[in-house]
Amino acid sequence: MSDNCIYVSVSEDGGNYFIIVDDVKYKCSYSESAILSNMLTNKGRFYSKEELALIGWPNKLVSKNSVPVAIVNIRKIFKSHTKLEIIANEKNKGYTALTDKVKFVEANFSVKPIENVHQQELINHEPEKRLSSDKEIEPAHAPNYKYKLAKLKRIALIGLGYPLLIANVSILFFLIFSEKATLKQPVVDVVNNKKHIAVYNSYNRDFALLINSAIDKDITTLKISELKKTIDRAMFNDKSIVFINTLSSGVTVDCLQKKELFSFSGDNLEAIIENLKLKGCKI
Amino acid sequence: MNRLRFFNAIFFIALILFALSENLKNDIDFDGYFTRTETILSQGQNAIELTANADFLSNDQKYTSVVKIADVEKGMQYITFILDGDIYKKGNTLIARTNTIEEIEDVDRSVIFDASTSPVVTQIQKSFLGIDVYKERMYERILIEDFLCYYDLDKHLVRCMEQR
Repeated sequence: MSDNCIYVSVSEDGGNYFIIVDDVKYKCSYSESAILSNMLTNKGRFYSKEELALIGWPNKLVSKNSVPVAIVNIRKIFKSHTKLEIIANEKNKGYTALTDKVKFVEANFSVKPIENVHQQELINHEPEKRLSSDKEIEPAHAPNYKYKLAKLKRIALIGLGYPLLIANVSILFFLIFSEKATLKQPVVDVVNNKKHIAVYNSYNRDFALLINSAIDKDITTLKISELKKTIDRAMFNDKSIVFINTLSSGVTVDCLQKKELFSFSGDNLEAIIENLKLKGCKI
Repeated sequence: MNRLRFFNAIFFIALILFALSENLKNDIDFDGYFTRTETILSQGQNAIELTANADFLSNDQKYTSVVKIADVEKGMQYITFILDGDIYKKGNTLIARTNTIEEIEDVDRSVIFDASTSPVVTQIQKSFLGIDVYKERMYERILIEDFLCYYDLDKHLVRCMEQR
């Protein structure tokens, strides 16, 4: 065995079946060993699922998934030895063993050859019976615990999956909407006259009215984000920009005038107005 | 089953991405020295001048501010505070948090005594030394030529600083 070929044999030992690849022994089911030995004996021949089912599970009715599962298991065994695709599946043709690099050595037990299978198929072919086979799925040679485990896994996935999905969606929507609720854009009242723009909120309207003679119809409400455009235009027209805030101890007034900033605060409103006017703030 | 896994994965990724984007701290869009001088005019009190000089380090998301409180009429400086903190943007909101605040010690003792008689200065002192100063503050900023104006989203106040 010194050439580059992979040598494969199948064997049976005390009711256990094995696929032996280059002297490495892999435990498998009868059906897997039978399917492999049949395919390797007739390389290049295409096998339908039904044919492989009859080879792997002679005289038994199995589910439609049994053959693909057996093929997957055989592929898994070869995966650790070679990157070559040993078994190919072609649409409308079926499964076939492709490569010449795999050489089948022997089977130490009797595997039904494909001809016998066809004879058996002719005898056993009863469509009604096959239909009912889907109901009585028989896991051929598969230990029961595998099915129990799969069932448990499915229950666990559903049991955890849906609550997790609900939790994910709920948290996501909560975050999105709570964020939107908290990020309400603040609004301010703006009086825009020939000399200045006064910006204030409803809490300090009294003082704002003190420094200008605006009547309610001249007051516009703007979001803070919309304010910049109005202020830029006013600065361009050489107007004063006056920000008016009410504090517990009086007011705070910031006046932007000719690229200068004047800030006054306190409860002495007359003095504040006087000083703003002295500084050139157009109020 | 596969659909359940798919939707779980999609919503989980969306949740993680949303949480990350919301907590992403961006650099502020202004940098350098800014100053503000506020004159406090109260009934029956001397005029008090409150000067704040702030240095914003956009790349480091930090700021340092020196706040001086002085009596305009007497020409005396009462107190100086130095503040250090973090400043960054979350979305369009400016977030500022004071990490340390220090009252400078090398001031004439008699001046401190003099200051403590002024209710305005005492109030400012209290506001600087209170625990509220360490609270996270949120602002909407308005950049107008050389001015940085900021709207305090909690207190609903607009104040401005001038770039130097």
